[in-house]
Amino acid sequence: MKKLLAILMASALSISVLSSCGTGNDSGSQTGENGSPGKVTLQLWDTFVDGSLNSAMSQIISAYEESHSDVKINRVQKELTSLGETIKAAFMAGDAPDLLYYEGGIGTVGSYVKAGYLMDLSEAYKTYGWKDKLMSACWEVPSVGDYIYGVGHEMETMSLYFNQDIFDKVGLENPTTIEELTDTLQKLKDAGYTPLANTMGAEWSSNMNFIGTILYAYMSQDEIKDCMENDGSWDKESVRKAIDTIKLWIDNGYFPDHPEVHGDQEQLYFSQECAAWITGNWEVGNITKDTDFKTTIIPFPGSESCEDGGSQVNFAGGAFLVNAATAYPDESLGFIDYAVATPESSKVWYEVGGTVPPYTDEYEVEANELGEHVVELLGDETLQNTAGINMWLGTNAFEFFSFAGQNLIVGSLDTDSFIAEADAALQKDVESKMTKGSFTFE
Amino acid sequence: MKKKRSLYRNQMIMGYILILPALILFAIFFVYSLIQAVYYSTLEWDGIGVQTSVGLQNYLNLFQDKVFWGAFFNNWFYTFGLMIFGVLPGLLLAYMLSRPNIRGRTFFRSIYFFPRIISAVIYGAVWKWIYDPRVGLITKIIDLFGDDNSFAMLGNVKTAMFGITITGGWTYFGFCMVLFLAAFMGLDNALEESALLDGANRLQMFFHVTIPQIKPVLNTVLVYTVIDCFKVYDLVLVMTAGGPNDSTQIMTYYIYKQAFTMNQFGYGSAAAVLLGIFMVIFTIVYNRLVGEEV
Repeated sequence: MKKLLAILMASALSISVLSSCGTGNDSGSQTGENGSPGKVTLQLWDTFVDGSLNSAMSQIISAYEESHSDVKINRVQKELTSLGETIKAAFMAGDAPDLLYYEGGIGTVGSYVKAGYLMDLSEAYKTYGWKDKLMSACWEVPSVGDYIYGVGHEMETMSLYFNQDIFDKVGLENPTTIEELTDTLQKLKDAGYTPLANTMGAEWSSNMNFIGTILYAYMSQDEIKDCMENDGSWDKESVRKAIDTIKLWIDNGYFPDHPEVHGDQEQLYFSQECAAWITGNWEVGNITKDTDFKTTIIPFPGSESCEDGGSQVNFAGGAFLVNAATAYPDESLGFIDYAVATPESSKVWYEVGGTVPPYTDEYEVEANELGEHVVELLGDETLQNTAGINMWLGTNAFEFFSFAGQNLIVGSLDTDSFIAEADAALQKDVESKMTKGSFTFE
Repeated sequence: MKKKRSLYRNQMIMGYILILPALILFAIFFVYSLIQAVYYSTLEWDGIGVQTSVGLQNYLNLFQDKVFWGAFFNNWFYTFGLMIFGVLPGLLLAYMLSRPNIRGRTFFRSIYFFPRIISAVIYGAVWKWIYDPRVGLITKIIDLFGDDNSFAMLGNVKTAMFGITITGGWTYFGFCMVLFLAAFMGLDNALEESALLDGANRLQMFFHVTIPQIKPVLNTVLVYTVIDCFKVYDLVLVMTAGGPNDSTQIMTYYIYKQAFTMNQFGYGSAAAVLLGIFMVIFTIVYNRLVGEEV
């Protein structure tokens, strides 16, 4: 079905104003090389190792090279972990690529920003008009104060996905609050279904995404801002309620058996063993392709006790970063502009890559019903779309939340110790000045 | 006489020249790295930014770090586990296969050795599936006996390390078996025959005649096992990533995590230096003990 998507989401994904910070010092080395006289070769490292995103990136690079005969992109793909390990050595050896597509959160690249290895793109945002063309998460996540060090990409949102066929059979309505959701999960269990397909084994994303979603259902925007931007304590009534809810769901058996051991969540949901799934839009393609039942996606319901009704968890899957020492800053920025801020590339990202690009102007794409709905959710200004906790956390807090769900399940954490350990991790990050609130340049 | 001395000197010089490339590589990749690690261990450094000297503070912090000591304990648990699930079965199997009337020795040797040549990532994933509380082989077997309560070996803080140890043993016993088999096959049967004539039973013969003869191999295997066990990394990464609640944290993974995930290069280096010191102490003590016995 050919759809013209009017994606006007410039004010969406509002994540509030960020605080403080100065400017970085440029260091590093020149990496670009002339492949032939007058031709610039840009070195690019990215994490699209295989699959649809890899195909999309290849197509975009080819199209860019065709329309820019003076630029060649020399692309190196690396697994996320491998890129994380090698980029450090590359920067220190002065051999880092001109462009990098990597995670943009401060917990991951904060040390590079601190050391001045990543270019300040604040001026580029003005020059290319990115703030008018891209979702605000693109710059609100990869930034400290006025220093914007990246351009976010791959817009993702956590929602409640459920099997409509099962809901109809059991006679359930869409829950509008998390309290109603708890009742719904109980009814599903009573009807003989495993309510949730979520598991929280030793995989950071399973823990972090789930806990973050529940936290945001209870925390007000002010509280989120306090924790994420101002190094505020996790010891809040809303946080306690969120953790108590997770514990209640664990105790009531709403998860599959032994969720502490990593399980195949897709298989659990696709096989209809589980009726609902708290997950993100990266699953839309697979759900469309691999299931023959109707899935309904709704914004994750907030708590009745939350003064502003709760917020939706959004992510930028990654960010384009520029080596501060690149010999070709204009060409590097030009490529980023083409890759994220044009209708041509956005169409490729959506149709070939299966991801939602951050571009907010109109562009034509082939969209299925679920995919279109996700785009609407991402652009819905009433939903308080807010960057997820993994986008903000410092290194120690990130580590804590990576295993927090598993530790709640095995009983190593309760509500009090959860908050105490989260605060202890936050304190360590503050001491190393690696949080949004405490960040300083070296 | 003079000519002989000159020849000796030339040979000596040639010997030094021949070992020089290896010595240089050793100095660059081992000695230099070692010195660098010791230096890093005295720094507060995220691996990329400003280096701040903190003296021995990283070591003092390590001594109070419960996770570090938990990892140290887990490494010893894994080591003793591999003695039981790896070395011991390897020894017994090798003894059985070394008996003269055994047929298909090469076949068995290949089959038992096979797990050793598979990547830890693969057998780790396979064993993770075997332990899966929903669809795993062990769960299915338990179900046959009518137990409906599935058990998550790797999801329980009390059993997760045990589960990893069994997996480690499974991949290790074939390697031990091959080493022991080679040792058994080289033994002189005359000693066993005379023991038999003197009235020794099979057990006495095994412990008092056979084992003493393969003691050098046994010692080598034991030292190698300890060193190998303190280097285990990928198996833990694949099976549990150190969880739940750090119950399967081991030294190498802990060091990696501190240096590369937590960006605490100085602290990670200090842990690595301590691990190196433990291993050196162990080797010296063990060699002394073995030497005294010999």
